[in-house]
Formats: sequence, structure tokens, C-alpha cells
Amino acid sequence: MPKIEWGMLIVNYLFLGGLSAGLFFVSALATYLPQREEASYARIARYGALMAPWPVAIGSLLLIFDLGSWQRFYKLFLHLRWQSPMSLGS
Amino acid sequence: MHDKRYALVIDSRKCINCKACVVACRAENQVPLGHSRDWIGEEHRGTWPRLLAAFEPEQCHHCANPSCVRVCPTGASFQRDDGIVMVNEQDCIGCRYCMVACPYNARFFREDKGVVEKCTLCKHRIDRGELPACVETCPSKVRACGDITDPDGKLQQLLATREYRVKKPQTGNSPQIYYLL
Amino acid sequence: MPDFSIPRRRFIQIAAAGTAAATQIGCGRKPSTVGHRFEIPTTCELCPNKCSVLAVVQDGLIRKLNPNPENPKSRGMLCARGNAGLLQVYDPQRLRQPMIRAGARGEGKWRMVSWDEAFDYTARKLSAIKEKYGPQGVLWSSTEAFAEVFFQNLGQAFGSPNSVRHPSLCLASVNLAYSVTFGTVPSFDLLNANYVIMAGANRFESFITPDTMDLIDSAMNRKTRLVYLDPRFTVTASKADRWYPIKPGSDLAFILAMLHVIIGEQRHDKDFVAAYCHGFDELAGHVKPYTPEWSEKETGIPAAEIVRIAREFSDAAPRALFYAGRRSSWYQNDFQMRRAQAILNAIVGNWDRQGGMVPNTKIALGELLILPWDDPQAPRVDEIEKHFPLAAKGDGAYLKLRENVLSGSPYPVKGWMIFKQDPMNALPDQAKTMRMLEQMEFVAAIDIQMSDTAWYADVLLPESTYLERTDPIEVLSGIWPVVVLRQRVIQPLYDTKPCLEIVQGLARRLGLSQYFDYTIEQWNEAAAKELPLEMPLDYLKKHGVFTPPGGPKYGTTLNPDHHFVTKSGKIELFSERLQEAGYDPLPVYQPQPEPPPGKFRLVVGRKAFYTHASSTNNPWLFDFAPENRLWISPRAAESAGIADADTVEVSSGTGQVHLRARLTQEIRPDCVFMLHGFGKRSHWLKRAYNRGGSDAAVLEAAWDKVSGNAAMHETLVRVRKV
Repeated sequence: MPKIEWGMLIVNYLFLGGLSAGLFFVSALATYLPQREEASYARIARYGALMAPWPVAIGSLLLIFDLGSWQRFYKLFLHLRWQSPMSLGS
Repeated sequence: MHDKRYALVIDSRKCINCKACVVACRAENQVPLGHSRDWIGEEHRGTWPRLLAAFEPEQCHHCANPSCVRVCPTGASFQRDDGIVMVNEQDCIGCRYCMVACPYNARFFREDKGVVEKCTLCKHRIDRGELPACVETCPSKVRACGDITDPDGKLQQLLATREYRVKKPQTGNSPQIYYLL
Repeated sequence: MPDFSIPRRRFIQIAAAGTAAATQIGCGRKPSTVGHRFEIPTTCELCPNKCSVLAVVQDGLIRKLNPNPENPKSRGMLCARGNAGLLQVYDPQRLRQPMIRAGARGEGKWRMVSWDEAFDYTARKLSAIKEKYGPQGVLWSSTEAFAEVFFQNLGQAFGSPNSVRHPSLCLASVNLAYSVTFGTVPSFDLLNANYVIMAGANRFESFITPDTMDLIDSAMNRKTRLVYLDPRFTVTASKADRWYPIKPGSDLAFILAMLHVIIGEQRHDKDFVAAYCHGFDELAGHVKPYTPEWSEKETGIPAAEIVRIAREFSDAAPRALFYAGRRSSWYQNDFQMRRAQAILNAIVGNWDRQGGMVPNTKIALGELLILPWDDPQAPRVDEIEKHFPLAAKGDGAYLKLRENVLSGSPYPVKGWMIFKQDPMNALPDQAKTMRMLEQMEFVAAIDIQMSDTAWYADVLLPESTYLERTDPIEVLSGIWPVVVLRQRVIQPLYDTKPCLEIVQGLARRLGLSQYFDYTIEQWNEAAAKELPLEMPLDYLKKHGVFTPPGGPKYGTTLNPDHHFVTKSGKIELFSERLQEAGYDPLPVYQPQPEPPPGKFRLVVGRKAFYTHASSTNNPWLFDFAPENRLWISPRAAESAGIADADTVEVSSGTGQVHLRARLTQEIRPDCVFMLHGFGKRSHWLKRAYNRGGSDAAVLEAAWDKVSGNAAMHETLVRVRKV
């Protein structure tokens, strides 16, 4: 059984990324779906939008620190390797 | 004028699991304990007294279509014109994607350096006209290293004498270690 | 990564000295100094094979050891131990300076002293023992090494007849058996043999020698048939054409049955026997009762198989070999079993032929003229002439010697000088070795590390490692002999000395310096002078090895004028010499007792990445096997309630050890197996300390009746879960 290379940091990043996505989605729903202007929907839309970016931002930090040489993380953005999902993702 | 490609032909039948290649590689490439760039796979089968044991050396296969190079986000993993797959330590950010991508578990992570490392086919020796340490040191001369594209070369000669296989061909990596059967 | 952590000032000293030393010695094969990188040829010392190496030195540090392709014996290879050899130099756990014991023996308290103090103290103690007990009161024990001759000479010049070496713990029985038969001990031309029978000689696992390389090449490429007998399914078994899990101790029954078949069916080489052998008729009569059916009962090998093997063997002759083996310290009648092998090899006519047994050729070396000393007066303490009259005197009979030292008869031995040896692990029945040590008034050890024996010594005289010293040049005799040089690669890292300088330091204070009044350079000049080269020593320094042209020679003894060094002048199938000495002139079978219920026969062995007990602590080698485990078959383990990796106690009449069990299909249910060299007591061997169990602690002392060779497979043990 091969050793697991991507551990808890990555797992948490995935969770946090999903959390942010969920927050954005709910916020968007609350913005565009409601027929009437109800205060609760506006609040959901507003707070959702405010909270949404943070989990993924923290998740990205986790991603960076998961790197073996995190001080070189900027190199991710210097090269585009179209065959590499990670490069595209960056 | 063809591009040469370095490959290994391994005759596992001759391997006696003496670990000379593991220690030679460790010394030659200063590989710390806890990791190995090459290793001997062991298989023990059967019940007393019908028993079988087989030993199979392995290391990076220096694939012709390496998935580790494809997935590397910074281009630190690259392949030389002669087929040797290398890691540029300056560009490696230690994301370990290549380790996940490698079908052969040939790579390992150097905690002390924060980068990924693997067999380099002793390119520093090859560039000096010498053989990789594992090939040279072996008592049974299990490994042969050379240019697989050379029709008169020793690798082609060996492959002409016996059946052979590669590991996990279904990955499409076109691995360049040929195991004689 | 070797821990190159040396204080910076010392590092600069070393780097400068290393460069200076290299240029002094002369260019290595590659005189380029790219980044101060050069190669110095020398000779490995991790095992008796003495392969040729090229030491790569960069910035004053030894970076790598590469094989030297110029030596046809080492065939351009370097095994795991050879590669790990450079760690002997850089291991922080090695000896760095002379030490004198400060507390009780084994307490581990040491005073770091200067060489002067260590020499003075040692010489004083030795002189005191000489005063009180005579020079025979000091035992000089050593293991084979290029520099061993200096140590032995010191012992002799001191006046002691008591030298003992390693053969009576190793191969004394096989050497004597072949000597008695052929007048010499031959090599085995495995490279050209077509049919090889190996009994217990685990050539692909226990030891990497030219034989290993030749045999794997022959077996895999040339389709040489390999028949292998062993109670364990070893690596050699896995490569053999056929493996038989022979009942331990019954090899002689197998060979006698083979002789029975071959002679009975007239398959022997009649011409050869008539021309070169003595005693065939007696042999023919002797093997009549040893039928394959009888042998099947003893060995467990089916009679039909024995007949088949005998026929195949004789058909393949003269390119058929029954391999003699090397560590022949098995049973009390091992000598007779090896004799039977020799006889079997003889009657199929493989002597001095390609693919057979070939007498060794030597190369004549010059000798430095040194002042002769008087021969020691007293008789040997092991009374070897009385107990083992045919054995090699100078090698001694170690176990008998220990008995006599413990009993104080014929006389007391109270001083013990030890060179490159670890008797605590090398001798069976460790408790007895401990008592022998304790009753000594003085014990000094010359070693490179704090072995278990060194741990209990009074004075430690650290020798420089093989990469830090120049040794006498040596001939590696064989079918194609070569001459090798071991030369210093780097200056000693610490305050250590080569053996010659240690001997000289002691000699000076013992009033014996006139016998050691030369340098190693002078010694080697004189030795190399006889070589057929322009500037022989310079050649050796540049190449590391001299291979005389011409290749292996066969058939030099196959002429009617040749006189074998035996009583009859012929190959003695029936041995006159044995008869005269009161031994069986033809091998008589003695069965080994079956282990009673609840007991197992303990079989011991080696692994080629360890050298006996001496390299267990080497970090790169230790990584492969940090402990030894007791091999036990699942069937046997189950009835004892033992699961894999359980800690078990192995006990015998001499002691007990604890180690973990390894349940494996690869061993007979009536046997258990332990790898030698574990269960270390020395606290300085931090990695190996107390890992696994020491076979020496549990093996009972027994020895072969004719050669005095230790018999290490006779112990029956109890195994229980703890």
C-alpha cells in the first residue's frame, strides 16, 4: 500500500474549499431567486457573500504550507503546464 | 540521427537480494536512511516444502511518457533529451503531485530539503562515461544500462535473447526498465 | 548520509592532509583533480574476500568506494559491505583513542590515555605475567588480516607458543579433510562446472565471493545444474534447480550413498583412479552397505533422487563438483563428512580440470630479512599435538584451548592479547568465554570499534581502519592468483595507529624492538621485489592489484611424475595418515540425534551484508536487519503458542537469549535458525546494542574430533514464548 502523500492539510483544504463554494452558492441563490424582497433572503445573500471567501483563503494557505518548499510557492504562477491539473488549478 | 534513450534491462533471475545496489546508490547519491532510490522487491510463496522466492530490483523507470513530468506544476520534473527523468531542486516546491502520479512509487520526499527526489540513473556518472552505481557494483550483474535505441547496443542484444516485460504498461507511461523473463 | 561532523579545525587539517597524502602516494587511476576529486586504489577489509576498490576522495573526504575492475577475483563488483566500508571511518561510535579501563570489567568506565601510557601499561602488565607464569602465560589471539603477521610475530618474539586464530571456529575441518586427501586445499572452478552440489554452503546469501558470481553466472546463463541441500529454504535454494531439505547432520549419509551408487554402477573415472588414487578397493568395500534406501532413512531424501543425482553427477564429470563449503563448523564428525566429499570429487576425476577442483597457484613474494627470535620453549596450552595431531598447529584449537585455560591445566594463562577478533561472539558458549576473560589478569584488545570483547577488556589499542592504513601486500592465491595492495586513502581521522606501529610501540617497551625495526614501506618494498614488474611497488600503488598474465592454469599436476603431498604420493581415498593417527581412514557415518519433543536443533548462519558480529553496527547495513529473529516453522510455532513477532526465549545447556520469532515456511519444522552477530552487550555500539539475541550465548561447545573445529549445529534448544 503506497504511502499517503497528501494528508490532513489537503483534506482540510478540500473541505474548506467546498465550504466556501457552498457559501457562495447559497448567497447567489439568495440574491437571484427570491421573488419578493424579504429581509431574511437579503441577509443570507449579504452574510453569505461576506463569509464565503475566507474558508477558501485559509484553505489556500493550508495548500501553500503543505508544500515541501512553501517559500517557492510563487513558482506555481510562473509556469503554465497545461497537462498538469495542479498547474491549471493554480 | 535519433535521440538516444537510456534504459535498463534487468535479469531478476540473477538477483540474490544482496543489497549491494541499495548501499552503492546510498553512498553515491548521499541518500539518507529512511529512503531509497532503488530497492529490491521480494516475493515469497508456497508452503513447506514447495517454496518459491524471487527478487526484483526496482527504481525510477525513466518512462518515455512520464506522468510525473506531466503533472508537475512548476516544471521542476523534466526529462532530458536522453530520456533520463530529473528533478530540478530549485524549481521543486514539494507539492508531491509527482509522487502521487508515479505508478511505481519511485519518488520520495526529502523532509530535510523540502523537495522530491528519485533515481537519476547516476547521470553524473553517465555524463563521465561511467555506469550508474547500482549497475556497476552488482555481483550478479543483474542490471544492464545503455541506449535502448541503439540497434547494435547491448540492451537490444539482451532483449533479442529472451522474452521480457515492463511493469504496468497499461498506464501508458512507457516505462524503460525491461525485465527479462 | 554519513555524519561528517568533525570539528572545523580538524576538518581543515584532514582535507589538507588528505590531499598531501594522495599526492604522496601517487596518482590514483584518474589523476584529474576536478574539484579535488581523485581515486586511490586499495583493498577492502570487510570480509576475507579482499576485493579491489577504488576509493573516491573529494575535498579530503572519502565519498564513495567503487569496484576496481582490474582484479579478476573481485570481477569489478563491490558488495553491500564493501560499499558501506567508508562508514567504518566516519562512524562517530568507533574507537578514537587508546583507553584504559577505569571501573570494573564491563562497567563501561574508561580513561582516555595517550599511546605512551597505553603502551607502558600494557608492557608492564605483560612483563609481570611473563615473570610470574612465563611467556606462555600470555595468549595471542587474532583473526586473519594482512597485518596479522606482525601481531603473531610479536607473540612469538615475546616467547609465547600460544597463538590461536580463527580457523578452528570456521574452516579447519574442511581444510584438513582436503589436505589429508589431496595434500593441498584446492579451489573450485564453478565458472566452468556443469553440475554442482552444494550442501549448506549458502553461496548466494551468506557470503559474496568469486564463487558466488561464477555460480550465478553459470547457473543462470550456462544452465549449470545446481543441487542444493539445506534444512532451510535460503536464497541459494530459491535459485537451485533442485533443493532438498536434508535432515541436519546427515550430509555424510547422502555422500556415502552417492559413492555407493557411482562405484556400484562403475560410473567413476577408472583411468583417473588407477593413475592417481590410492585405496580404491578399500573404498569400494567400505561403501557397500551405504545404500540409497538406507540413506533415505537418514537424510529424508528419496532413494530414487539420490540415485538420480549420483548418475547425473557422474555423467557430468569431470565438470561436476561437490562444493566443499567454507564455514565447516557444524558437527563433531564434520571432518569425515568433508573427507567423503573429497573422495567423491576424486573418484569422478575432476581434479585439476576445468570445471573441477583445481590446486591453488601462488605468486612468490620477497621477504624482508628480519632478525630471527628464539622459538617459544613451552608447549602449547591447547595441547594440540596430543588432542588433534593432524591439525594446523599455528592455528590452534580454540575451544580446547579455552577448556584448558579455564581448568588451569597444563598451566595457567593469565594474559590475553586480542587482534581483530571478538571472541565473546565468535566462540560458542559465551558464558565460558566470559569466565575465561574474567580469570585473566590482563586483557588488551586491538580493534576499530568497541566490540563486545573490547567492552570487557582492560586496555583498548585502537587500530586505524583499513582506509586509513597501508598494510603488507598480499597474494590472493587461487586458480588465477593475484597480488593486492592495501594503501592508506586518507590520514587517520583520530588518534589511531596501524597494527605494525602498535606492535612496534609494545615491542620497544618489551625489549623486542630489534625484531620490528622496519617500516611498512620497507616491508612492502622487499615483498614486491620478486614480482615480474619494472617498479613493482609503484605499479601496485597505481593499480591496487597485479594480475599475472596467462589466466587460470589447469592440469599442472596431472602427470605421472607428480607427487601428491600424502603418504603414498597419490590422492588418498583410503588415508594412511588417518589410520596411523588412530582415526577412521574412510568416513564412517554417525547419525545425529533427533531433537526430542519440545526441542529444536539450532542452526546458525550468515547474511552477506553483515560480517559475522563485526559490522552489525554499521548504519547502512544495520538498516537492513536491525535485529535477528528466530526462524521457526508455523507448524512448530503453533503448537508452542507462538505468533509471528512474539518474543521468545531460546534456551540450551549454556544459557538463554530473548529475541522475536519469525514464522516462516522456509525452515524444517524440527529446526530453528538464528543469524549470527546480534545481542550486543557493548554500549558503544548504540544501534545494535541489545537488539536481537546472541547465538554465542546459547550455543553449546562441541568440536570436531579430528580437526578441533568448533561444531556449532549440535545444540538442541527449547523455545517458549515470554
